[in-house]
Amino acid sequence: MNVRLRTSSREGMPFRARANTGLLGAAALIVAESMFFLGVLSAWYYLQVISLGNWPPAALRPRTFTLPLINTAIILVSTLALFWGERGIAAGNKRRLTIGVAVAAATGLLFMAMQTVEFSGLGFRATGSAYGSMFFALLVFHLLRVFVGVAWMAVVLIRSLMGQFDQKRRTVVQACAMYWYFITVIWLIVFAVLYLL
Amino acid sequence: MLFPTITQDAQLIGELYNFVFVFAVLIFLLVEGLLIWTAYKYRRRAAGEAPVQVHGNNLAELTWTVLPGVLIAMIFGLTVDTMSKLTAAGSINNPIAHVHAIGDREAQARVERAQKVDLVVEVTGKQWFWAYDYTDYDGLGAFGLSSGVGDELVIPAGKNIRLDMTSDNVIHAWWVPSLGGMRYVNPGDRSYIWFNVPDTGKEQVFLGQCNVFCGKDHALMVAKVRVLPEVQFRAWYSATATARNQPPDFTKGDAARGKEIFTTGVCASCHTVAGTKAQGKVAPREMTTFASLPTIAQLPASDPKATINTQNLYAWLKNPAAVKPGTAMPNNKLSNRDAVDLVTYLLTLK
Amino acid sequence: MASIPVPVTRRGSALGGLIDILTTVDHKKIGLVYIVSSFIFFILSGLLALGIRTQLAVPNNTFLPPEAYNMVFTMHGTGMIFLFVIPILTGGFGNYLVPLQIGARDMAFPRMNAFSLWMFIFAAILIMTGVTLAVVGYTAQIPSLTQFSSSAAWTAYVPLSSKQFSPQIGMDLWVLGVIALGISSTLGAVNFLVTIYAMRAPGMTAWRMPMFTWSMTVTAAMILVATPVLTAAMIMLIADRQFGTQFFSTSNARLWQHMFWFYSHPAVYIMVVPAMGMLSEILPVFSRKPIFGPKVIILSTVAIGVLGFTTWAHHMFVSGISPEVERFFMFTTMVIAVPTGVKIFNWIATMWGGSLNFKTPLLMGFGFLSTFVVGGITGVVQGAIPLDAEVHNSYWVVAHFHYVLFGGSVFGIFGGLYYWMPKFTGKMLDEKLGKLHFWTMFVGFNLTFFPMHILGLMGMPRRIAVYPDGRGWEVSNLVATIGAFMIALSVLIFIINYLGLARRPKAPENPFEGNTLEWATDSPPAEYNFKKIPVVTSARPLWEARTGQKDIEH
Ligand code: HEA
Ligand code: HEA
Ligand code: HEC
Ligand code: CUA
Ligand SMILES: [Cu+2]
Repeated sequence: MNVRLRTSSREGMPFRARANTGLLGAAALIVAESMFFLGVLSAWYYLQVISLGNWPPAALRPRTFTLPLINTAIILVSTLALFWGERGIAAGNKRRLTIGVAVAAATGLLFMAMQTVEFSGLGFRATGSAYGSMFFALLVFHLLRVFVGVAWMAVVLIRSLMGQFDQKRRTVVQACAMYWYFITVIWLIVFAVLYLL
Repeated sequence: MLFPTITQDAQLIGELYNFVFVFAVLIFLLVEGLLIWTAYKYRRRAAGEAPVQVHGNNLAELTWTVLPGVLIAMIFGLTVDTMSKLTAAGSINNPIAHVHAIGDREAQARVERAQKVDLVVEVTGKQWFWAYDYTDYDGLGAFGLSSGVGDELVIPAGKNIRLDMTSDNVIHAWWVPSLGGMRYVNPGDRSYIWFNVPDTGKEQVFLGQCNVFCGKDHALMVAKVRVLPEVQFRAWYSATATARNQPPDFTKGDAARGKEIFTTGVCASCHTVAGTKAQGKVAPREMTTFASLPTIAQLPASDPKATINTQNLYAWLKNPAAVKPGTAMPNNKLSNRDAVDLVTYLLTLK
Repeated sequence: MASIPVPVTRRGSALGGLIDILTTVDHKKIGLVYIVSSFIFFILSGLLALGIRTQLAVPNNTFLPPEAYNMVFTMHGTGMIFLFVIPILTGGFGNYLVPLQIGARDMAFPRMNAFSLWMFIFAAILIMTGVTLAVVGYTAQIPSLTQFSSSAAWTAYVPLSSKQFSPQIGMDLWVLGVIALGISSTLGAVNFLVTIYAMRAPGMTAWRMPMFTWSMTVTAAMILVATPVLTAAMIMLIADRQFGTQFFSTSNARLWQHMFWFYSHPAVYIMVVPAMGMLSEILPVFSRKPIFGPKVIILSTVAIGVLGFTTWAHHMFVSGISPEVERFFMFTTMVIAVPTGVKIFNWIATMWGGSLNFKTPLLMGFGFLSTFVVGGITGVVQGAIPLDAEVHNSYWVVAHFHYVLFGGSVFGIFGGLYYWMPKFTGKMLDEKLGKLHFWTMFVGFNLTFFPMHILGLMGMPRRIAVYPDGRGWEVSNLVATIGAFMIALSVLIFIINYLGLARRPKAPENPFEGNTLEWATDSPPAEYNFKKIPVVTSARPLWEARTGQKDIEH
């Protein structure tokens, strides 16, 4: 190379990134995921507006929201546990991380199980009407994310048991936690839209 | 001037087009002129040239932000102005529904304008032709014009025409450039076009085409409009209405032609007749021995419209829902002749 | 994460080379695979376009039966947009150049980068095998093969794309392919944003970032926000087709249009913004001047990116949306002309007073500027609702979008190929052939697409497989067909030029006097790009090094 430029590091030195790329990547993915839900939610509201008051169609309102309410509690517990564990590792406490993630993953699984019960109990199906399709879409799209979140937490749990995380190396834990908080927020929105509003 | 300017709407659009076109040409000439000039003036003449390093100029940049902005504002303003003068272009799909839904005053006004009509034609977008149904003209009665292919829309000159359009399959668009803007023809809701073709004392013909891609023969979905002076139109209308509304003459029924229609046309998509190309699976019963069945469409035998005979079958084919409300069989907008031939054919299925 | 693994190269045998490509996580190799594969899809989609033009050369032609024609134009549009322009610009040029331009050793997530690439290849094969089979099916009269292609136009409007009206498996393949492409492109966007944010060399502040990198930043942000909505729509469509849900049942068919255009309008800027970025690199270099008003160029790009999200319903002006909504979209549509105009004039000012070196990249730049303006202006005409109601879905629109897409993006892409070829391969394309390529392409392009404006105004709808004689459409169509074959010839000249590379001598280090960091390393660069990471002190580090003068600091 014939131009002379100022250079920073010795030859072959590893490249230093300016920020935690893992966390940034997770944040960017969450933006994309939010847009996905925004798209589906907009579709919900669009169909609601053009249905001119026929939304939900007379017979289709979900009968109760006891189960979803319980589910909300479950996912909140899960999030709190994960938060507790994640703060733990930030302070260097590996045991807290393991326990926190284990509880969070278990409650996440419980949430998934409860959701499947909820599906069969709704009394209407995804195929009968646009309302039914949208209702199921919001639940299923969210449930898929829960699945991804739980799988991710399982990975974190295993790696945590293997002692791979400490105060310095915990990007994966942070990213996973961020994603799970995001899933919780989406649940709160989905819950409000489907059952409360 | 490239826009054909027959109706008032088309004329307004044409004027707007001319205005925008002038600016478009000016901007085009300016930019291309600058490019050619720069290319010529500043081409490299010697290898070692070292031009002055200019990094920007706020005033210049402000100028070429503001000026286009002003231009855009003008174009926007003029367009809005034109839109407020258009009679019916820009109509919305279901003005009534929208008035309720949004309380939009402009839509209201347009509905009112659109209601002042001399002739309403119901247009149905088919795959791949337009079906026209005349509701009434000056008390002369209603009739459907659709025979399947090559139908033209016939209208009187100097009268307010409204087309109420819908589709029973995919999206189409009704577009006859000379008569003004186009509209989508959507399944599941209605769109409107409203126009008035000035009288020239002569017959006028306008061509247009379906303008949303609607499947295989989209290219063949031509819209042809024939405009007749009032007197001629009236004659045409009453003659056609009488011919179309004549009680069907079953003695002229042609079973072979009926079979042809049944097995190659739309019927075959739902119905099965063993040994033919008709293998549709929508209808609940096979038609192979239709004429030996007790009633039409499994209606109770007590129903006078249920017995299988020429009159009843004819009525069923023309409008199934009128015979059996809520039936899944659509109104296929058959012409009288087609219906007669189909009846003749169906009664041979013993 | 903070360090990159030392790359292992297996050289020597063809098999080794193949394994190398299949397993590489190096951004440059990934970029080149993107460029080569999407160029192949350009040729395939271009051959389909020749099919279109051959069929339309004369009235009542029977070269292609309507079913075949519909499939051909559907896959031409799909291929050009999803498999050529977007991947070559982002996956190809973006991947290759961004890390080099910011002085990084690779993308932030090299493995994810490779995943995006193979996801793209997978999707492309899914889509393109279908068409190939269908083309064979039509020519060899094997009806069962014709099932493998979609023919519902690249916009796949419901209900035409529903199970009822498009029962063939090709439609499902198309939807699945687009979903896969969406995922590939979303992950790519994540990668770009993180790379550009976190991996810049020391001293490279935001204002010192090269213009192309800036354009990739905006593009990636647009992809990140727009694509998931398309993915959602596609999933809903395939659910409707396969599981009988009713997201897009007939009474709410317009929902599809909203969701589709919410992505696809930003997508047209996704397709042109990186090309604009390349233009902003090429023009200063070939004028020996800095870019005029860099901040304004950058801000206008950002403005286009933001405004691009507010205009989607201009594709639906006559589909029956309410008047206030229409007006809003008309306004935003027209406003986009302002930031775009600013860029045009800034580019001209960049060359003004410069020393224009008319090598092929600059010629392509002139091709871009002179044709894009035409497409932009016709765009504004369509933005006026009553005018759109006269030209919507006519050949006027076809002219508009080829003027921006071919005139803008494709001329930009060829400019980029000529400019960076010495970087990619260490060798330069031939100038004489390059100039010949440019002029045949420029003339052919205008012959093909200019007459389409007239056709549109004369009432010729798009997407028609045949047209009757006697409506005055014959001459323009014939001219367009001749032009299309001229474009094909020009592409052939380019391919010949490219194939000649092997026999050409090694190019100089920085043949065009480029000023950005990609020119501060070997050509082609070694696996880790820079032996030592450069420290950046201005927007034109190499200009400073070459002239010994100080560039103004930003
Ligand atoms: C690279 C792709 C690209 C780009 C950049 C654009 C840019 C623009 N497009 Fe285009 N467009 C498409 C690709 C693109 N488009 C495609 C693919 C379709 C069809 C899709 C389909 O249906 O299949 C389409 C369709 C389309 C429609 C719908 C037409 C219809 O179906 O009825 C409209 C309507 O408003 C539109 C408008 C615009 C506008 C206003 C711009 C503006 O961004 C243009 C701005 C640029 C300028 C204006 C020129 C430079 C400015 C100056 C020199 C300043 C001075 C100028 C003025 C004051 C006017 N486009
Ligand atoms: C970037 C996008 C892009 C590009 C570059 C092009 C390029 C071309 N396009 Fe088109 N086009 C679209 C995007 C694009 N197009 C889209 C989105 C649609 C809408 C689809 C829809 O309606 O759904 C469309 C639709 C469209 C139509 C309208 C079809 C219709 O509505 O019925 C037409 C008609 O002429 C057309 C023509 C052409 C031609 C002649 C070219 C030419 O410029 C092509 C030039 C390239 C070649 C000809 C390849 C040549 C290569 C060789 C010859 C090499 C030789 C081979 C070997 C060595 C193996 N295109
Ligand atoms: C979209 C589907 C569809 C099309 C198209 C269609 N039909 Fe039908 N048809 C039906 C259905 C469903 C029934 C059963 C109606 C019922 O029982 O309510 C039916 C019933 C009938 C019957 C009475 C049959 C019986 O079992 O008693 C006749 C006769 C008939 N159709 C003729 C026709 C003809 C002739 C055409 C074409 C011009 C046609 N149909 C087109 C769906 C269709
Ligand atoms: Cu009907 Cu196109
Ligand atoms: Cu657009």
